Amino acid sequence: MIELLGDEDVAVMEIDGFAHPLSAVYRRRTLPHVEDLLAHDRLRPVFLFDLVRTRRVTPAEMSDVDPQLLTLRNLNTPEDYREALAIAGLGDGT
Amino acid sequence: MVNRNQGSGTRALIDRLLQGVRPAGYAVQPRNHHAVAAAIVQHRADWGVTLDTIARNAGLGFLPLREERYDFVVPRSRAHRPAVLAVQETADRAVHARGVGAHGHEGADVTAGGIVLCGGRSRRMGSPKALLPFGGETMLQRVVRLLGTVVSPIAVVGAPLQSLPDLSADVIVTFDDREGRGPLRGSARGTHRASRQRRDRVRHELRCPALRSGLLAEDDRAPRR
Repeated sequence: MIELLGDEDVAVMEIDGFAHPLSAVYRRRTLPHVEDLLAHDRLRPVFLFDLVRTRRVTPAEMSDVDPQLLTLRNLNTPEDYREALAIAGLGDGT
Repeated sequence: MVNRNQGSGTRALIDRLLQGVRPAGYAVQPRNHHAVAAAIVQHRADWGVTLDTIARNAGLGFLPLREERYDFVVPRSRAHRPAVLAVQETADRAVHARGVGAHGHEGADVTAGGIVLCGGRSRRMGSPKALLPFGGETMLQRVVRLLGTVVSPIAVVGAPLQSLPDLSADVIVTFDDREGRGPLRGSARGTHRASRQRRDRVRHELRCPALRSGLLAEDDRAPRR
C-alpha cells in the first residue's frame, strides 16, 4: 500500500464501492483536512477521500500480498473471532 | 578504553552497551570523535566508539555497532551558504541512492509509522477485543507486534480509560479524550502523538495487519467479508 501511494495523499482499498479506511495509508499532510472535518462533525473517513488526492486500490493490485483479502476481515462477533483463530491456525486461542 | 564526554550521543550509546561496567580508561572522556581515534592511534587505548569514517580515515579497524540518525539543523539565514547547500545536496543524493523500497521493507520503515485504533466498543463481541487471547498473546499485542515488522513507530489509540495489555516500551500509547468520534478522530490523535516523537512520517492504519489476525476497530458500514 505504501508503494502504491506514489505522490498521492491517501491509498485505500476499495471493493464494490466500499472504501476500507482502517487499512489505508495516509500522508501526514492530510492531517489539517482531518482536523477540519472533525471540527465540523464530519466523522466519516470517506469525507476525507473526497478532499485530498486519493489512490483507490483494487483487490487485484493486492493479489500478490493478500489474495484472499484477509487484511480486510472484520472481527466483531464471537463467530468472527473463532474464524480468525482457525485461519491463523490457533484453534482455541490459547 | 577511551570514553566520550557526558551528554554526547556516543556516550549514551557506550553506557547503554556497558550496562554499568567501568573498564580501565572509562574516566578518559574526550569531547570529539577525532580525539577518540587519536587515542587509539597513539596506543593510549585499545578501543573506543566513534564514526566509521573517522576510524577509517585514521587507518583503524572498525566494528559496526549501530546506525544512527542525525538531524541537520541550520538557521534559515544561512541556508543559502555554499557549504550548507553542499551538505544538503550530499544528503539528497544519499537518500535517492537508497531509494524507497530498494531494500524491501527497509525503505518503507524510514517513512511510515503505524496507528492501531483499539478503542472500539466491542459491543457484538461481548468482551474487550483488544484483550482477546490470540495464540499466547492478546489480539492487540499480536497486531502491534506484526505491524511493527513493517512500520515504525507504532501508536496505539484507545478509548478513554480503556485497559490495554502490556505493550513493548517503544510503542506509543495514547487515549482519546472523547468517545464515539470514530476512526478519523483516533487516527488524528495517534498522529499527533507519534509526530512528537518522529517527524515526516506517513500515517498508516491497519485494521488487521497480520493477514491472520483480527480487526480491532468496529466499522458497521463496511460489508462483512
